[in-house]
Amino acid sequence: MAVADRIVRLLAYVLLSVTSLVILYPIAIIFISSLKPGKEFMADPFGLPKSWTLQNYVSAWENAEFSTYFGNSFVITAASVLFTVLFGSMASYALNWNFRGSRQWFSYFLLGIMIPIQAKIITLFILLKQLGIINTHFGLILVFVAFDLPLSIFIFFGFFKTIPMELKDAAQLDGCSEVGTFWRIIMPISRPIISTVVILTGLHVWNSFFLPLILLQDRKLFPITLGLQRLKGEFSVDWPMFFAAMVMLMIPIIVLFVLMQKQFIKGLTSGAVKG
Amino acid sequence: MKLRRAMNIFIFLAPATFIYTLFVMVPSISGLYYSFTDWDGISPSFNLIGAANFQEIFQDRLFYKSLRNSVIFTAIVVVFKNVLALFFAVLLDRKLKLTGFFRSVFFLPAIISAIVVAYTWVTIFNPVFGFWQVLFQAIGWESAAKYDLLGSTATSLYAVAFVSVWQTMGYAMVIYLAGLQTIPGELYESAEMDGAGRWRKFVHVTFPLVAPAVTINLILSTINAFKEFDLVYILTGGGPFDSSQVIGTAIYKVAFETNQFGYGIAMSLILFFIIAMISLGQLWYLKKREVEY
Amino acid sequence: MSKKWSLFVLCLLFLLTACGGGGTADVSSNAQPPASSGAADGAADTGTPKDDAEPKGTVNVLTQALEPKKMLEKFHREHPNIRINWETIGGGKISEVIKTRLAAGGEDVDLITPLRPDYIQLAKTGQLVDLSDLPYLDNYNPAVIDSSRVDGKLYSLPQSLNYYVTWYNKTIFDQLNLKEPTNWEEFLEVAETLKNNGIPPLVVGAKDHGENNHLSGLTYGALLSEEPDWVQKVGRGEAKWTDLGSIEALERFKLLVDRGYLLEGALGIGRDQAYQAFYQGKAAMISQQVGVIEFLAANTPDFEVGAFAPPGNNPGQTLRVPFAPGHTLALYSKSKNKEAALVFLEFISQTENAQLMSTEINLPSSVKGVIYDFHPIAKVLMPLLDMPTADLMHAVVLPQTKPALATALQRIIGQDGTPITKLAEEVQAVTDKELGK
Repeated sequence: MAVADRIVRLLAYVLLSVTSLVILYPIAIIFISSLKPGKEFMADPFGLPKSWTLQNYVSAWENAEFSTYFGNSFVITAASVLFTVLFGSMASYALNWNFRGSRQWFSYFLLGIMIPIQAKIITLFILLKQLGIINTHFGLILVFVAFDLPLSIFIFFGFFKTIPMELKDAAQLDGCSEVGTFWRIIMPISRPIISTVVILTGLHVWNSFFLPLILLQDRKLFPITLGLQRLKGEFSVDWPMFFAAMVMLMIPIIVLFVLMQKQFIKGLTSGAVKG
Repeated sequence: MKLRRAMNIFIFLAPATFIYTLFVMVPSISGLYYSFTDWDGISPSFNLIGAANFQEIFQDRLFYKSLRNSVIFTAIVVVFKNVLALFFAVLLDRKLKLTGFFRSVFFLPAIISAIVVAYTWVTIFNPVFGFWQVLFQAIGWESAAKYDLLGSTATSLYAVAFVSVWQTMGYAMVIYLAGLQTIPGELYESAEMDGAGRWRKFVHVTFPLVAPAVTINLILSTINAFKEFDLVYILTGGGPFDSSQVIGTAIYKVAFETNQFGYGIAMSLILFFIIAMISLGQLWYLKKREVEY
Repeated sequence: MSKKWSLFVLCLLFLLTACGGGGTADVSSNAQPPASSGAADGAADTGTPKDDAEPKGTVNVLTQALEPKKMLEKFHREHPNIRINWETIGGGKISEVIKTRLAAGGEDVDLITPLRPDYIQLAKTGQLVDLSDLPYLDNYNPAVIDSSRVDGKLYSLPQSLNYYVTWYNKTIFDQLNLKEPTNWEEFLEVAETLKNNGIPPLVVGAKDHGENNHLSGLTYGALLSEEPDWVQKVGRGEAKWTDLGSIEALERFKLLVDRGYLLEGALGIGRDQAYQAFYQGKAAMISQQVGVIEFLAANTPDFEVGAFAPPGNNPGQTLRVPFAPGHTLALYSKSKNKEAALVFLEFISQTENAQLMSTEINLPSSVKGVIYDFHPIAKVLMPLLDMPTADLMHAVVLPQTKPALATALQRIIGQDGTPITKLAEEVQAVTDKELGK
């Protein structure tokens, strides 16, 4: 028994290490390349830098106008995530009551992910224009929320199902309304799920390029992903500088992930069930 | 009572339904209208041509080839991605010192934009001076070293599938991790007290209760794999000779690159139906298996 | 909550109107008739008061070209009443952005640089202003003006030009005592010498479609020398891919592959990697377009770089450079700032202003008198400007034929054994289908 266990453990660790290597290697290339001068990268993309430099970061920051665009990205992402989590969790909660038509309503929400964006983009543009919210953060955020709601609802729905009815009933016996139950009981124990949706939605909005490109015209409103386009030439790309920009772009999400990660602590749910 | 119930339903569902309907469903439905036209995307007028686009699609060799490729691609990606993601989620579902580190590392690829991911792998797979070459030459495996993964019809699709798994495994893992959080520790304890070993704990406790996460991941990864565009486009451009052309890239090529917008949208509509059928089928099947407790 | 209600009401209203207007990309229904009038009489459409002084307004330029800040500063100094809003659309998405904005009514669209197939389609459907009668057209390289005409009329001004160029590693050439080849036979000799000395003669990023088409310009040289506008003829249905000259050109392409003149792994590398391979000295020549200069300017190789016109001609035939306009700036017929836009167009057609733009954004300008001084390597491009011209392979503007040709070329490189005549027939089938529409 013990031997088999040891072998399994060994295999697990081997797989863990190999996978980590496979994952880290390309990322290491990206990171290290961002510290190389352009010519050196061209000559030798895989070796260690002969002359380390931070120039790529400086150039990327200036040329892509990070100072303006970072702020925009933050605003757009924060607002989109907030409303996606809020409305998505609310909708999933209600859909869990299994009233007549709730299954169909749920499937209705799922349809959105299945339609490729090319089919929607032109009519979406026209719609926003007619509503007068084209070229505004408000309009863009609404679209992001709409696009991410299916995922949010899908994830919340799956997990709300696993919350035992006793919890809800106990709260309602104590006189809580639905809204109260939702806000004071359900949400706090859903922290891991909320964190998940925050990360996944945040990631999607933060890295989004195509939607802002089509729906925004005013340069002052651009998120950083559009700013990155200025780093590309027409016939070539300065990859080390682009990598540097990409690293800077990744940092906020990594920070977000590390913060949200702390929510994945076992015991949060079990305690609540007992109580 | 019933009125209160209805009001509650309305309050909770209205915002999401309203925004979603207005900004997703309405544009999609009006967009799909173009599939019945011959619009090229740039002329100011076009004609309604009924189902002609669809008839043409069903005779289009490229369409079938892309569809076939998409199915293979999706199958590979979904299986590998989910098996690995679940495996690592279970492995990393404890508060050891390094788990935080590993979780973050595995999630990193998902944060990097497709353009950079694809370019990096193109450079690694580069048959002229890529790392792939360097590595295999170091081991002494010459024929592997010389192999052009992205440029050979036999391997192009699989190479893209590999990169796709590389990029998104962490994403799926995060969802599994979240799912694992909802399994109360006591269940494991009582299973241990019954003498269950690691594998039995997994089969009897973990797997059934992580079912919602499995449902989510399977459906999501299927949908996303079917829609895949960025990676394929940059890694292989659909080639060589359409060997890695998937539905997503075929639609883009047709709708935007060759100025057959109406035709491209018709393809999107068909893709949508295929995805909808598969996903809703998955949903129905998997929901039945989920355990409610 | 009230904000949501008002949005809700707005949406109801929208839904009521959308069902009627949603399907019509038929923009002309509620706009003025397309203005195909000449430049002189733009005033009637702009709505600005007829003023003897400067026209006013903001001109939006939608383009993939980078912003030429210095030139714009000069313009704003000289024309304080006109504001140029330069929007650079990167990521290869210029076509989508233009199409989306036009489909939505074309507001705030003034000057655009559409891709060639879109340009032709826009011109034919009356969405661009006719610029044929502008007085300063002589400022431009005549070949480029000619290639920008659609049905005899000019609808855009070419800001830059493009032609096929074979870049080469002069240091290697000098070491082996090689001279720039001036015809196909000499080219083959050069390639053979390189190969015998262990240096791959050519590299091509065959993964990217366009790269194959550019390279084929070399092998089509003989045909284009006799019939410089052959490619356009194919686009009009007056010539075919299956013509004898074309078959021979494709056979020559195959020759390059069969003799091993192409660097291995062509199908697995794209444009960027091909440039990189050339930079690393892994191949002696790369036969593509002028645009490579952008890469070379940013990553100057350690060796000397030279350039010659792709010598596809047979000995005794004229060596022609396949040539085409690069970015072409067109004026949208429903623009509300036509007068102001025309002032800007005249401005950029002056040599000193075009020079400013060329130097700043590394653009090979098509205005006469501009010197390519944005990088030392750029000088090697200048002599080719004076050579006789022929069609670029991209002059086949049919959007489906281009990738069909590229795929056929990829298959030749992949040596999949299909006979050349069959490949040509397949490409021709696509062209026939496109023309038949």
